Amino acid sequence: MNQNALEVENLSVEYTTRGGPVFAVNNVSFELKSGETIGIVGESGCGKTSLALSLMRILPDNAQISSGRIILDGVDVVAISDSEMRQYRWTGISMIFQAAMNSLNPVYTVGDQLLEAIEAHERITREDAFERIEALFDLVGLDPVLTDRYPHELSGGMRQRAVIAMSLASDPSVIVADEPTTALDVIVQERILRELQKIQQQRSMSMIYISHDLAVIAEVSDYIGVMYAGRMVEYGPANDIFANPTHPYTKALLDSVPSVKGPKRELVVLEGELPDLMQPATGCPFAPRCNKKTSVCTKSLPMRIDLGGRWVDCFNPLVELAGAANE
Amino acid sequence: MSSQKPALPRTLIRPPSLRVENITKFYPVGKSLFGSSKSFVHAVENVSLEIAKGGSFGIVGESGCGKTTLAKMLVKLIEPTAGRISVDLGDGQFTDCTTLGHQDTKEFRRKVQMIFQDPYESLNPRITIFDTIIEPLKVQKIGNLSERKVKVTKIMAEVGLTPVNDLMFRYPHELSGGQRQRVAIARALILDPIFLIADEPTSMLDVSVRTSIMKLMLDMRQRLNATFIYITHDMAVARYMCESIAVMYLGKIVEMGSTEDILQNPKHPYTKALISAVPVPDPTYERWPVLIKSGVAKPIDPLDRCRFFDRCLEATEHCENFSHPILENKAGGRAVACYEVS
Ligand SMILES: Nc1ncnc2c1ncn2[C@@H]1O[C@H](COP(=O)(O)OP(=O)(O)OP(=O)(O)O)[C@@H](O)[C@H]1O
Ligand SMILES: Nc1ncnc2c1ncn2[C@@H]1O[C@H](COP(=O)(O)OP(=O)(O)OP(=O)(O)O)[C@@H](O)[C@H]1O
Ligand code: SF4
Ligand SMILES: [Mg+2]
Ligand SMILES: [Mg+2]
Repeated sequence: MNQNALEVENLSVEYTTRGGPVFAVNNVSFELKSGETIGIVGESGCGKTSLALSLMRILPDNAQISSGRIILDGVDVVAISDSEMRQYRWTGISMIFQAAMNSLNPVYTVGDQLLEAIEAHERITREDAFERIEALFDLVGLDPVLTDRYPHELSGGMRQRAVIAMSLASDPSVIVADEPTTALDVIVQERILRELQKIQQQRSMSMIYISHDLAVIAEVSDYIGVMYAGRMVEYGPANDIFANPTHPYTKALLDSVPSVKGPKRELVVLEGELPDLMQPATGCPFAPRCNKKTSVCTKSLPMRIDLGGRWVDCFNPLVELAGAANE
Repeated sequence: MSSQKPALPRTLIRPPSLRVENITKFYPVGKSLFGSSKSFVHAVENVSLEIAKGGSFGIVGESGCGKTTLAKMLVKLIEPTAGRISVDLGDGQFTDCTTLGHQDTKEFRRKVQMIFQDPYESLNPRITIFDTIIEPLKVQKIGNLSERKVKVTKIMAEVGLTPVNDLMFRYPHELSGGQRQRVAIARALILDPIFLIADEPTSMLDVSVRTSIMKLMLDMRQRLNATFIYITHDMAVARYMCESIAVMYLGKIVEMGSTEDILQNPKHPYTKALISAVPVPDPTYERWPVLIKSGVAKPIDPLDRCRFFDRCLEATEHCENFSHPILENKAGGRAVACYEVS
């Protein structure tokens, strides 16, 4: 049971642009057990989608994996050929794209696109395929009559749900979900998250769940990886990260969530310049905005501190809190 | 459509700057050979509202309930099937949007801006970020080149598209999802609109960047005495950005009133369900069960009864046998469309 479905080791991804290289993912490592979910959070532009696309090996042409390994089901998918990768994509590892609304083909009905997704990976009768499509639509809360519609005839959230249905069509063992439910109201969202969790349990599907919605992250994640400027700076069990964040960025992130329930709090913004991924810092990437910064922080990259089941890259982690949590 | 004219609930006591009367949009489905259609998607049906000048109004509701359709009608991107929209573009006069002349239309395009739900749809993939953001200034012939450049640089920094000098020359596909969303925001804000309709403008932003953009918009609204409409699924955004909100279900407004009142004390059964389902950022919190019957919304030729009937936990026989309830003022100055709310 407790096998690793995915291991990412020292992964780095770079984009080539006219202005120079963009270091979007820097030395990221984590592992994911089968049937479990890792939630990935971090600032807009910190490299989450780049990480996701590299796991699927569908990075754009101007990008490359500059180092690292991605072990999927025992195979390093960075090292294999494109045609070998095709075997894993969608069945081994599948993805729900960010702004999913755009990943549908405008000239085919959503039903036809689903049918194609199913038939591309298995031999199946039309009746069985239609039955599967209906079940998938039901799962995401869409009326099956919508299979006959073109993408532009659906609302943003309906398109997003059609894409979720599509990514589940071929029974993947790992699914990368990049902001899958941001275009949905909370009732539909709750339903989809519940169904996803059911599927996970039935088929021990693992999930990488990327989102800015910390409430959803809290709900779905077993583990959480916090990214800042292309690096994973804190990793650990979801309960521990939420209860006792040890990286100053994680703390700042959690403190800036506006509340819906309870008293209306003052809105907090994390002050300071957003990081520049073309000019990697010599020290800690968060140092320019950090309220725990000391002189050592700007001199070299912080070492990884193992806190037992969780870790943090910081010279001055909020360990008293972490210590209290470990007692 | 009900023959009874629904009350026009005011969102605040200030004078209105937008008046929507019985607006409706039906989309034909399953066209026959002769082009006539037997069935219609009732995307928006008989919606009326007034929004106060300088006010901030939120629209929340189920995915597919007609929010984007309503917004696109407000900015004249799609034609309503029926109903009337009139706006005050700053001169105290109400003009019917459908009858604007050429000059007024130009004025309308400058003063009324929309941020689209899907930033990919609204950005031209072949032009750089700089050209994308400067374009509205060119079209409206505002400022000379150097003035325009200053404006672009300033707004890019304000929405967090930094380092400006680097991102400026990229193309939309060379940005992250949230960066692209900020380009769409910058492009809409650069014209100092006095009327802004934002359709999920910050859904791809982290909480800190989102908050700074909310603050930027709040400042801007005050400075220009502008009227802002936000469509959002994020109740926290609605809470901080909108004085009042309308809750929609299947093409209808089912509840309308002050945001804080509605969050604290929702009255319509759908609003109750919606608020009960809001998750909180705490892994030990359990949010279910949600106060709603399972099922999917069916917007094609709905039966002439309460649109929420099939999923309502409070429905009675009365609800089953009568038309969709009108949106009317109930106790506490709240507009609710429900037979069971007094
Ligand atoms: N095709 C590309 N060419 C050049 N730079 C790119 C490209 N795609 C992304 N980037 C840059 O790489 C960085 C990481 O982008 P990525 O899309 O991975 O961010 P993200 O964490 O998913 O952000 P968001 O939360 O906004 O979606 C960003 O700074 C972005 O500008
Ligand atoms: N061009 C079209 N042709 C046919 N039906 C359409 C068209 N555009 C929208 N619809 C339908 O109208 C209804 C309302 O769609 P709309 O996009 O306004 O919803 P929304 O409230 O914005 O939803 P979301 O929150 O998911 O974006 C949906 O049932 C949708 O399928
Ligand atoms: S290493 Fe230093 S600058 Fe970086 S987060 Fe820790 S305390 Fe702050
Ligand atoms: Mg992204
Ligand atoms: Mg919409």
